[in-house]
Amino acid sequence: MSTATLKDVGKSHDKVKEPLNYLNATNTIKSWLFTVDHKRIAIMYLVAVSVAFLLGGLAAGMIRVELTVPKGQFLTNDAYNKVFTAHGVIMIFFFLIPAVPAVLGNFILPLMLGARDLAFPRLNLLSFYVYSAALVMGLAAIIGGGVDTGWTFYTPYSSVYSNSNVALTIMAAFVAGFSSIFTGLNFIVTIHKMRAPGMTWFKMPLFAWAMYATSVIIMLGTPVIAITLALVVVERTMGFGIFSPEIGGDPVLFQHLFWFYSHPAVYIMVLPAMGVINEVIAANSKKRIFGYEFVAFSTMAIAVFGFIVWGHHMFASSQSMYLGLVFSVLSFLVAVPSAVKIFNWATTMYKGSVELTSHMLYAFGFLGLFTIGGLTGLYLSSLATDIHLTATYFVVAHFHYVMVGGTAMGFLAGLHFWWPKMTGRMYSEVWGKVSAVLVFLGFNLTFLPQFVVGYLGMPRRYHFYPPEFQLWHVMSTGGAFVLGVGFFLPVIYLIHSLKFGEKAGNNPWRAVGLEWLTTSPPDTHNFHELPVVTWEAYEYFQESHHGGDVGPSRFPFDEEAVHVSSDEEVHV
Amino acid sequence: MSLKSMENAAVVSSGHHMIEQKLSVQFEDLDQQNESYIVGMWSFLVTEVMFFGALFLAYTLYRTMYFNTYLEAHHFLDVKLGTLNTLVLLSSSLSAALSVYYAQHGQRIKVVLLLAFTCLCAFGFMGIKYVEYTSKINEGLLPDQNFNYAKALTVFHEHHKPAAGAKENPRANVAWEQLELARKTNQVSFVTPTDNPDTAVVESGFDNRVTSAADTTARVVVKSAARERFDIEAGKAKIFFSIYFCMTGLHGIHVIIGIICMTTLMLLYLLKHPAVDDYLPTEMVGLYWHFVDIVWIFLFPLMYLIS
Repeated sequence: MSTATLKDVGKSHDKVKEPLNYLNATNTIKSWLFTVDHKRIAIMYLVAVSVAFLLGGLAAGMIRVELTVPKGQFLTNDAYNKVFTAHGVIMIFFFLIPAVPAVLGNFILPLMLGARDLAFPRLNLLSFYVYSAALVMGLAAIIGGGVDTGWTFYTPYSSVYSNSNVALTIMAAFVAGFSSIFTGLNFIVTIHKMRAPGMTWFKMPLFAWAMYATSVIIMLGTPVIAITLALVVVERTMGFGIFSPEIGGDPVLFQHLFWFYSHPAVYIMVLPAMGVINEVIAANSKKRIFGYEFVAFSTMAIAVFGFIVWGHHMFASSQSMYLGLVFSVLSFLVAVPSAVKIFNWATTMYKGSVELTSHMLYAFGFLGLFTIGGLTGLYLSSLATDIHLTATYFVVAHFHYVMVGGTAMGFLAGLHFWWPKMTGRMYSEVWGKVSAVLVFLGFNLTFLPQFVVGYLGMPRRYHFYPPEFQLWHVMSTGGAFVLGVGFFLPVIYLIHSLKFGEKAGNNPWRAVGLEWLTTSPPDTHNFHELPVVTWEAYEYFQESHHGGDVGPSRFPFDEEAVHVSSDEEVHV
Repeated sequence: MSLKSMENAAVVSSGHHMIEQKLSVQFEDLDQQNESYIVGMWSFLVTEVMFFGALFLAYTLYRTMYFNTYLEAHHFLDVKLGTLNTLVLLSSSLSAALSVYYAQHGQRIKVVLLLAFTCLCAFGFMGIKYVEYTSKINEGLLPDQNFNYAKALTVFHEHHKPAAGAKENPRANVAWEQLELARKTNQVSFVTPTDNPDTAVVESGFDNRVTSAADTTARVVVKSAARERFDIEAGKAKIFFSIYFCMTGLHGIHVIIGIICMTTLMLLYLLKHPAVDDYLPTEMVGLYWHFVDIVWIFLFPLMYLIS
């Protein structure tokens, strides 16, 4: 273990060995594979989810190419079903759910709370390996034959009729569920018990609140889908009957149990991204998040509401009309805490000194796209309009606005925001902005036409369509390729920065938060001296006891940082 | 606190025994570490509740929809063996609780003995469960492709003349009535999966319905009304037994995991491993075991004591 402090660093650290940090402390492959350091596990997760994202993206590309002509061009019906299922399964179970919590949460949460690690480091490593095993199972199922049920695995098609690798894919999702349960459990205990002295619940950064809410949803929701999927496997492989309508079983029960998890899972995906946006907007506006308590409570409110709205996925599934009414009203309620967040972020930027960094551009993208995604959700939660829009491309466009526009944008914002902390290097700000703009434009070009074509009646999961829809599909495919380039650019310039990027100081964005107190990249045990928190979260300006600001934050920026040698450069 | 001193094992005293417990590097002190374990364990148990919760929901839904079927089918479960199993599991819960008590007081021998007794009960539970499962499978009640409710009902009513709960409560006789009706009209030729599916199965009797009469090559199944009604009842019974096997099976898996945990714990005690210097690991296993016990306390009346 390193006991080296930064005082050991000489004046010109180009010649003298770099100070020990979590990246260079040990160098063997074994030290990575068996690490229990949350930061290294986060890096391994980053690689794994990036691979998943790439593969899911390839499947998306195949779907878009196939849809450029009305009669399809290179995929058979069966292959098309398998490709969109692969896209859904990989993106949801292996990218969207783990992306922000397992990568950014894993890395940043303990630093933010002033802890040396998560509460259960070995469980964290197990979570990563369980995830990897699930990914391998999923890819084996998809490559070795494919699955054609769609990611929702609706019975009785999945349990009886589908002639594809359903059981293995379902087991992959089942195993991946345990990975998120382990991560969620770790986060809950860490947030409850590992906060630095003085850091009360309401002095926590809002990212930590988001992680807490997410973990609660994971702990309550994931076991339900796990057992439900296990029942489908038992039904499929052994011939048991639980959901089978042939013997009086209720396939709608499967849908209830499935959406009891899978609707809250939407919040498992988007709440962490919202947490990231809090941090990015506060740091780039140099202001405390407006209405901190409201945003914290709205996070918990979304977690609670998320569990009582699942029925809006089943308005057209023979669910009782009265139940539909209740679910419709409750679904509208989710818009309230979501809107609280959007308005509070906008108000935070008001009169702030807003800096247009690349991560801020991603955050802007999040605000715009998530708002569109959220508002179009209201069309779908209204019973009457939903009957028309059910299972059309309108739904596809809606959830891509929330999932890609929300989660993926939030993930990229956070990755750019914390990249200097994770790697100690600065990436190219110019390319960062190019990528952010490309993603935003490409995204809108891809999915705005899908709202139109969906409203006109294009069903989802079809690859033959009437010729009058072709224009919209061609636009969508063109946008998809712009989007693909936008997503691929960061892979290049972020990897490039590892070797050629400028060294980042401890706090390149002049942000507040405990993670910026330590070195970049952090020491294996995060802090040389554990911080004691006496300030509020996001204290960019000290407030006097008589109201009003009394001047700049007492939070040390690079110039006066506690643990930094005098010649560390400041990159603003 | 510096890193150096954190690496040293902290020393706490508990009662008359000086117990050395190792402090992991991510924690500041032993209190924080122990509280974290406790919070983690309870969070895990919440997950477990939700895990079983989905199955309880399925149970409740079908019980509401097909109560008469539940009433009839549950007679196949052996209440005596179920009660015995409940007693076995309750005694194991007592010994698990006592083992935690003695672990807190550092009396290792008693802990090991009590854990051994708990394990023994767990094995006993699984043994009785094995007997139950075997007889269900032999009766044709395993709800897979070989599920044969007609055979099971016939055997059951041969052995229980007059059927114990059945005669008093006509609602608990729905499938049996249809079966007897089908027999009376001399239409019984129950198809088992071993039959050649390509052979046309034609059953004589009144009220015949010919499916796909136009296609003579297709398999033609002609069923009497009584036979059809019996098949519907048998399907519902299949759901009951699917839920029974899934719930008790999942519970059984938890019992096996408990056996593994308790065996590991006993080994740690016997090897005087520093991990069990503190009572917490015993408390964790104890909590888990009580959860397994509680699940059975719900399962037993819900499955065996339907009325």
